[in-house]
Amino acid sequence: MTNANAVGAVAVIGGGIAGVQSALDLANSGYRVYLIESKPSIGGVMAQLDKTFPTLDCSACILSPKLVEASRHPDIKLMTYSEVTGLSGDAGNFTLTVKKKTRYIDIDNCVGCGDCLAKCPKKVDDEFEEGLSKRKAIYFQFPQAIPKVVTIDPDNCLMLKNGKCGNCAKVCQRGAVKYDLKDEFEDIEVGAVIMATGFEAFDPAILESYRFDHPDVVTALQFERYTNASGPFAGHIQTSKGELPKKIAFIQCVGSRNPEIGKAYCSSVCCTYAVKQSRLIKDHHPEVDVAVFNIDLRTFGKGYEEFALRAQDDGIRFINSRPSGVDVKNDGALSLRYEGSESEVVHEEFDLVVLSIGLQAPKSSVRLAEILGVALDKYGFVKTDLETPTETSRAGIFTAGVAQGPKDIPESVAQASGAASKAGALLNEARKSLETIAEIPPENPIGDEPRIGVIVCRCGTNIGGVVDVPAVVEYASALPNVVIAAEEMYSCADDTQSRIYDMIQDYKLNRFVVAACTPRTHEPLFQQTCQEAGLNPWLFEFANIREHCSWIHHDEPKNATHKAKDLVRQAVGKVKYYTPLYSQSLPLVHNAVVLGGGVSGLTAANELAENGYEVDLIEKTGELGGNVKKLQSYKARLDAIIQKAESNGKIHIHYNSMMEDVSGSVGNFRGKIMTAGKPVKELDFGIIIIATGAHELKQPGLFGYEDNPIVRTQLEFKEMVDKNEGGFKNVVFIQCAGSRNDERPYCSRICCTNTVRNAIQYKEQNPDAEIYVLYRDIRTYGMYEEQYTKARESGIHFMMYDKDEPPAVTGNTVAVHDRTINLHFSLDADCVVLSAATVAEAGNRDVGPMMKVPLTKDGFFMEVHPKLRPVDFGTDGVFVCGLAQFPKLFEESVSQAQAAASRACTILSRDALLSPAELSSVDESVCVGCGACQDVCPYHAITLEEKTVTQKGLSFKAVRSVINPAACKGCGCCAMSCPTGAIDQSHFDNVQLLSQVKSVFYFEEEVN
Amino acid sequence: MSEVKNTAASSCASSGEFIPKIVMFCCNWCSYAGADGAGVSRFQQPANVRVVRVMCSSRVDPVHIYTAFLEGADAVLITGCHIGDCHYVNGNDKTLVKYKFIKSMLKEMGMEDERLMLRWISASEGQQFAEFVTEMVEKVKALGPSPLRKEGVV
Amino acid sequence: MSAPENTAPAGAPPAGKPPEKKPPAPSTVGDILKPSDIAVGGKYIGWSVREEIRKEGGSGGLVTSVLAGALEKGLVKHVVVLKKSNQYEAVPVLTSDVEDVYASAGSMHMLISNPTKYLRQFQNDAAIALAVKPCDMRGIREQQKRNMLDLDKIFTVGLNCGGTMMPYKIRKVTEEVYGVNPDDVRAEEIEKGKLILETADGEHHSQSIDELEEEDNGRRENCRYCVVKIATNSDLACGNWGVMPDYAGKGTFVEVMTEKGAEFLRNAIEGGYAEVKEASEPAAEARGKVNGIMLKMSAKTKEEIFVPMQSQTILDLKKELENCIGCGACKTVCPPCACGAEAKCTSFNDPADNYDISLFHMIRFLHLMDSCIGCGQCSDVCPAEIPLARLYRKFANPMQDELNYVTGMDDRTPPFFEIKLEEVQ
Repeated sequence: MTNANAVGAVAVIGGGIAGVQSALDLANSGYRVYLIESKPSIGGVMAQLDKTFPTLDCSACILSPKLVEASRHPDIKLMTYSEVTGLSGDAGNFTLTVKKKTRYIDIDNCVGCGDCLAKCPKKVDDEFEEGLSKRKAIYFQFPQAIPKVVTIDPDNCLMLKNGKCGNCAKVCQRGAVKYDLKDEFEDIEVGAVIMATGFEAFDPAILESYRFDHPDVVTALQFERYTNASGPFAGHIQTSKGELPKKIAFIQCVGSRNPEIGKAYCSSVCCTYAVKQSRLIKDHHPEVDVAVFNIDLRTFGKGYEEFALRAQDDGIRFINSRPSGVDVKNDGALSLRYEGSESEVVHEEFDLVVLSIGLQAPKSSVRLAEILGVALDKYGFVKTDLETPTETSRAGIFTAGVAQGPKDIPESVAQASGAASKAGALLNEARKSLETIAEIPPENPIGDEPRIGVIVCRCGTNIGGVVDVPAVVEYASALPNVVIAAEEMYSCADDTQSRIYDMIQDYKLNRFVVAACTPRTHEPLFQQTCQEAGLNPWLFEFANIREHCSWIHHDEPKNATHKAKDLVRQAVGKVKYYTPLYSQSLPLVHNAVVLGGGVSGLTAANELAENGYEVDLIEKTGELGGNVKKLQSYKARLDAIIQKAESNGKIHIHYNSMMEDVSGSVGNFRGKIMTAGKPVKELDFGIIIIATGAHELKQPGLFGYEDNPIVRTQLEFKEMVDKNEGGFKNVVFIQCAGSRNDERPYCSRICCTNTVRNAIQYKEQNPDAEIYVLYRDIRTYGMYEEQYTKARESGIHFMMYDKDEPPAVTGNTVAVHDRTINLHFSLDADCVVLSAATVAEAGNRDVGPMMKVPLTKDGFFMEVHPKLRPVDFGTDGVFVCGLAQFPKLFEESVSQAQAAASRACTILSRDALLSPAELSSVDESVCVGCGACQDVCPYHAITLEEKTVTQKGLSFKAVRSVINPAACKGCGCCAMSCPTGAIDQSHFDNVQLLSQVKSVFYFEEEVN
Repeated sequence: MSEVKNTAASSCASSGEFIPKIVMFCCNWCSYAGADGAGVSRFQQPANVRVVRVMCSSRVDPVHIYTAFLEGADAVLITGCHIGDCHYVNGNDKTLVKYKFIKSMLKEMGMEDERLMLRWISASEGQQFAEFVTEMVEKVKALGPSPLRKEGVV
Repeated sequence: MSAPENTAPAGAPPAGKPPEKKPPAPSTVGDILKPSDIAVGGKYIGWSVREEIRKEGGSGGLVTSVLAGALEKGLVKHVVVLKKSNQYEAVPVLTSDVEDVYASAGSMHMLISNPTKYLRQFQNDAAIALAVKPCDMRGIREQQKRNMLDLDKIFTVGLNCGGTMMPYKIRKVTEEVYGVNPDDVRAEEIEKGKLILETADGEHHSQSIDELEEEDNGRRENCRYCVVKIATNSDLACGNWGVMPDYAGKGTFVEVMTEKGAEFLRNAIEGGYAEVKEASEPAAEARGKVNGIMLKMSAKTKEEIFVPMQSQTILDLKKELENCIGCGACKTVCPPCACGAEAKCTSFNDPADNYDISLFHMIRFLHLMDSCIGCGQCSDVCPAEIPLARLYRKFANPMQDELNYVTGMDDRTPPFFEIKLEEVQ
């Protein structure tokens, strides 16, 4: 599969969360990445979201670091506001033509100060705020846009349209506005392409009955902005009259599960986001009545069902009915028409109606697919096969995220990593061929006495318009150890960097302070300048006098100036105690262990091997294949995967084996492979993927299971159906058997889809059979909805039962209360199929502690972040995939296994591990070995070890804390917990922080 | 105290009006970003707060807090990510534990324990950040200068 | 043996001699027990088989015999014993000589030094046995939580403690209140709320403890509000409370707290050092009753001392601490403090800062909020006579009360180092 002449670069089309994830994984695995985004900024729809379910994490908080990381990565080239217009060549050697739309801005000169925005007279609807507020014709897509450069909207710019105005060019002190710029085209050479083009939100205007024209009928995406603290209403939920709505309705499946408008699929995410939005309303305003109108409530993801249960506890009404429409009364009030529990028509008034709009393929994807030569399905999503969920119809072009079909963020991220793994494997020969190798100039000797240089930035008028910058410069010059202070119009501009360079040289500076904007975006730039000038980058400190001063004290210039001086003094106070820091290079073993030989484990092993790494695959039973090995219908697919693993020389399969006694950390694990209870191999390995699977619940007595011969589980039934056995006349499926109950509150996710698939298969084999499906909510998400529709069309009966009134199986009858029509039935059955819960392996309780990774209360492995790091753990170098993480379908397991492999490749592909520079360290002469640090460290980076300590000339053995630099992430909680001060966090050490705190205060007499 | 020479400082101090000085510790990932967000959105707030950036609120040592008070801070604020959102798994939980201790200690010392406040502010909560600052400055103004504040500190 | 056994203050039922009018109640039932009868949770009455030890060790010498047995049979390598320098003072000594153990038999109410810090120096890989007051054991347990001591290698016999007295103070009291030359005192005894001193001439001199304490001439202040009187945190909790009249002065009540305790007691029986019988229900009840009365008194004292302190201002605190000379003795003796000489409290305390309250004390107050055991040694050693124990307790009491955490008794992680406090959630 590899190509000796391949290009070691990948184009990722789409800068949403999926594209960014693919880009980061690839760039961190030794490839150059072109990240192509049609909008002015990367970030995609996730940047617009308020909170994310089920953790209610702030979306911006978790997304921004990824975006910043992508923008700073030396091997990721951002091509924003750009579109792909052509493709030639083949897998391994593509040439992609990219149109770089002009922003009418010389982006090398724009520093993102935003002075131009203030002077632009033209206001237009803000797309980022979903039209709820206005932006200017020259604009940032959103405040944290990356790259932080402005764009002129040519359709609205008065200058471009009429040749009148030109304010922005006049006000720009950098001369960055250039109205005569033209679009440019660039050809890029890449080995592979990943299409992660995301989705468009469904436009509800075409569903006229929902009255989207009314100002109080809003889309869920708009509602994200309603609840967002930085949204147009500062997080205050309000009607168009500006009042808090008393009643809010959510209408589900707007633009989903609707074949009439060509959207027969389920958008997968709307139910849970509606639950999330409802809960956010209730959080702030418990008194507001919230009703969610749904056909089935599809909260099928990990933790989502529990999330919805809490919503019910919050008093949110879930109504199993799809309103036929929204009526606008004469006084403008909104009323919903829907079918009540007694099949009567109910009219209910609401103050605000939120349409839970679905996800649809972007219109532009048709054209893009033509250019790329990849096939789309009938809805415009990228077509893939079950066993290759990240591969398009064209070799070398991969896909991820909603571009491939509706899915939520964790699956998009997993698939994005999976696509990265496939692209990486394809280009393995060319890995690192285009990688940037940073050249670091030698460092100047720093001497003893701090010699500090200070730059105070005016940032155009942003700072200079409020803060008396010359006064701050004068003040700074007089501070102890400050050798030189100067002001700059734009400290981040290129020409300023060369002046900083000269200043460091001319004045022999050994510390540097910039008082400007926020370190969160600009610190790396100045650190780099320092580094180029021979100054260790950790001898630099930032004072934030823009975001934290001029911008928020606009009307108090005197106080702002006073504060700016304080902030500079604080920075000087801290920087003088800075010391040079260096990353440590730690050895790394370049091979992997995969626990579990099911579909996930096999796929992960295959991916790793194709990416060039040795893998020890450890299977506890005597054969490979896991849950699907008995199923005829998966045989061909499974055999192909097994064959691939068995024939790959890099994969070493251990049957009847376990991993035990694991020690060490990322890059350097060591463990014992036990085969049939005996140790057979002591193994060093760099990473480990946990793919230990899960199993179907076989609970005696559950609906008569094991007592009643007609009752069998889904897998048992599937095994029969695959063999065309059975011959039953009346088959009754019972959903949620052992799931969504008090013992196992989670939804097992896969059972509904398996039921409709198996029911259809059985119906096709036995057209005369009567098939009933007794369910609570049918959760055939995504494209599986088509199967559900097909099942209904083929005459399979669906009956909804209530949790509190489950069906009863007695002999050959199943009694059920159909809650939709409120009737009791007694069904004949010669086969009852239990959609039994998927339950975690008991062995997880051993693996978890061994690998220092946590489990959920249901016994599945708990990834470090359910949204953006779905296969990672807090313990580096340990990954999870497949059913060990949560129940999932075959194709989802495949893409998650690929993801785990991709994440592993970001470690294995490095020559050595580099620790972060700002770690904690231990002073052994002060440490007493009390272990307080060990207890609080969330990364298990601290151990207590017996060491020979020399103190006052005496050497003795004592227990001391030892920090593993490979595991430490630099949070510093150990430093806080240490009673002796033996542990300290570099760059934020006690002396530095205390000096910074003390510098806040001074006596009047000390001033000048 | 000697004569005030600095114009900016004198503008604050000479009127005789009490101008609170507040030290605020912000975690890099949420609250510092929230403070940035307040700036980006231009949420105006009193200029009495001096931010000290730390990577995680759990880094804030009681020693830092005590030092701030002993130096003369009228209040010390700690901000971090919301519980469950910590960038470092559970740093904010640990912050909460320590906070409880320090708060109790201040009370026992005979200080108003409102002079120490912990608030969770996410990166998107610029507004909340500004409101918190405004609220605290008002509160501290009502409390008056810290009993540990030295005369002449500006 | 060492340490106070029966410093029962006024009001507590007399321990030691039978009430005269009641017929003697049986305090034990059944026979002398076999080693195999000893179990964790068991309550027994025991005594030394050696007569001279029974005589010396006020209540039957059980403690001495258990320690001697442990040493001779090799369960431990060393025993920490107290070597008396005079009637009022003793120094802890590490010994492997069983004669030293026998020689240390006998009660002592004046001892104040908490052995925790010594143990840190004594302990190497060998197992050690010692007798402890409840607060000694609390210190040991706090050190263990901080990895400073290995409890697996320490065997402790806990002794009931109603409180201790400062040697210098009791000398003074002897002279000024009793009108006796302190060097003439040969023995001391507490009975019916009275402190009785026996001089060389065999004469008994007695004073009411209540009255002594009114003039601050009695127990150390911290003992008066201490909340642990029976050392149930040790391996064997011993004492004469609950020893019924028939065994008074001849037996020790012992409760087996741990498996290790059971092992040591079995060893003493098996080796022919001690004999034990099952303690009767009334005996156990009587012990509980004494304890209950003591605790009630402590609670009262606690309220008397600390409620008025609640209204103290920061200026009061400043005043209390203004004489501090920064010698660090309070930290050095502090049993739960695990730090070495260099710690946050010392290294960040720069006198040049000229702070209103020294950072040293601020940090110490905080660190002791979850670890102060109330032993009072800080006050004892303070050359500036700062009532440090009272100050530490002022900060520690509300937090420990709120968390329902009794230091040295509770096996939880020190709350300050917990990730999530239950109470905080």
